[in-house]
Amino acid sequence: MAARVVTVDRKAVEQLTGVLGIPATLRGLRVTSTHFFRNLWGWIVGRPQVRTVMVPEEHDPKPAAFRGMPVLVAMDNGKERCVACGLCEWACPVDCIHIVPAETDDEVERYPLVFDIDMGRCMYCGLCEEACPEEAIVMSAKVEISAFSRAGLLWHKDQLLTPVKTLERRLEHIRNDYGRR
Amino acid sequence: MNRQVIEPGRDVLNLPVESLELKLGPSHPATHGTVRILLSLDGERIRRAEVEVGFLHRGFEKECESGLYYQAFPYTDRLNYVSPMINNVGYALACEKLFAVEVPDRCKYLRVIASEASRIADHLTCLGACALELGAFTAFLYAVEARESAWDILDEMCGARVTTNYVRIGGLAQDAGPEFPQLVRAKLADVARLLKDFDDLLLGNPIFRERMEGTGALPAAELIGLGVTGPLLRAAGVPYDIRRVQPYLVYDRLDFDVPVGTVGDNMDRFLVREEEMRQSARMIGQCLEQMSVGPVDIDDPRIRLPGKGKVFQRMEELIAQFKVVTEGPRAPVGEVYQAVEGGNGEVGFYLVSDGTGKPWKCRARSPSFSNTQAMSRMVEGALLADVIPTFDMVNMIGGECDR
Repeated sequence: MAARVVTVDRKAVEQLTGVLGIPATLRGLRVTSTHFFRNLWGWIVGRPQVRTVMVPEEHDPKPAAFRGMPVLVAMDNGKERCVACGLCEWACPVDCIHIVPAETDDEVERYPLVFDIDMGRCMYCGLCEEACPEEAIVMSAKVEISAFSRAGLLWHKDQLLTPVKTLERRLEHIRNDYGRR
Repeated sequence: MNRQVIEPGRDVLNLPVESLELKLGPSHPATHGTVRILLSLDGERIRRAEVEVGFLHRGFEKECESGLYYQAFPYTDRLNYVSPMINNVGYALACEKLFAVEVPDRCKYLRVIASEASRIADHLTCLGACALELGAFTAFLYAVEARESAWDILDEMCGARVTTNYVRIGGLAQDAGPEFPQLVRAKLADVARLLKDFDDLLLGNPIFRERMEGTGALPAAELIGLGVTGPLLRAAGVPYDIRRVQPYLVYDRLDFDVPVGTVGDNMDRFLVREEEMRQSARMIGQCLEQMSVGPVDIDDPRIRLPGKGKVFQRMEELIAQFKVVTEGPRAPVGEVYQAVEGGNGEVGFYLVSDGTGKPWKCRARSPSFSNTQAMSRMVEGALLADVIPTFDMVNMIGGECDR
């Protein structure tokens, strides 16, 4: 097993051109027309062969590992799972998370009074999800954010809370990796 | 009016002429990335070329020094944004050298697969853009379609195509699933098919050959003097490939060819990149065969986060989780340099540690920067039209060059 040094074959390129470049032209025509007719046939039978996707009407299927914007997991009672430990705030390289913790007399006594994510700064890196010890902040499949002002990109807790059943796919994906060490 | 009067009988062919100053870029379509080339032209002939870089400077190194070691990974994605995985791997290897840890075999194989898939994407972008700028729009579309397939591999591994953030100190963000090898083989078959079409359409074309052959060549000694690495140097006949001369990860267990050129012109650079893509695909195939099931992360709670399952259940792992995230792994005092073979050449990371959780100094050796400085020597004395293929083959990536 070793790396061998080979020289690239320039002579082969000359042969590809042929007399006056006619063979090369014909070969090129063959390639483009093959693609054209294959795409045309795909369009006729309703199975397009091209990779173009008409965003936003349609979207490519996303893999299970896909990282969209981070959201807070809302439990069935509508409350957040987050206990405001602040690890995601520590882990965030761009400091886009801001948490103000508070306490109640409930069973889970700590909760975030304020949980803001500045989506204008967030780069969807997923380090917050990796740091979270409660499975409370996860990367959703959502990517489309738009606002008329920068203030509109600052998402608050009520906007970030997402019902757990819409995040099943992501949760299942990250749970696959849980027991690996 | 101070008009020069030509006296009758004077040699009109030897009139004093000023050279034309032409600013190519920074937002010229052919300077993909933001770079300005100041050309002084004598007709079509280039007298002097000055390359101005720095338009995309974001302070990568300083940014790394202000965060913990693991927080720099998302930033390394944005160095060479066409092959982000290679930067991820390079930075992780530098950190692991500093921490003196070695990752498990499966992790090494997955890192090689990620790097080689990235290399395929990088070269496809470079060659496709070159074809586009020389007028072959269709060939560009085939290359981009093939790149989609290469990106699908990365997408499956890490959930993103460009902003990968996949590699971690002592492991990977996540393991690959059981159906991963099948997907990779299918995607590589797509790449090979489209690459064949790309070749058939472009390589023999007389116009393309006219633009590429004999342009932009520099002797190997001069390239070495300018610090040029990667396909540019290999096209000039120097078999310098980090994967061959200083094997890292599992490259010493793989069987692959290092293509070199003979003339060192743009055509050789093009052919070297093409062959490298085929070799990358070959390497990925070998990795899939040799890879076995096993852990991808080191079992060291001081460096790598413990498994989440344990964090939920046990106190010790929960403490480790808090310590690693907030303080970061503490590096021993020292300095390391680790280079990997990137899409454009030697990608190196130089880290100096003062014993805290943050690097005291992080320096990135970017191949694009060294390669771009050879650009002016390559085009001096050539024609204006030669700037385009030469710049395409230099393949300056703004994010990496300007950091």
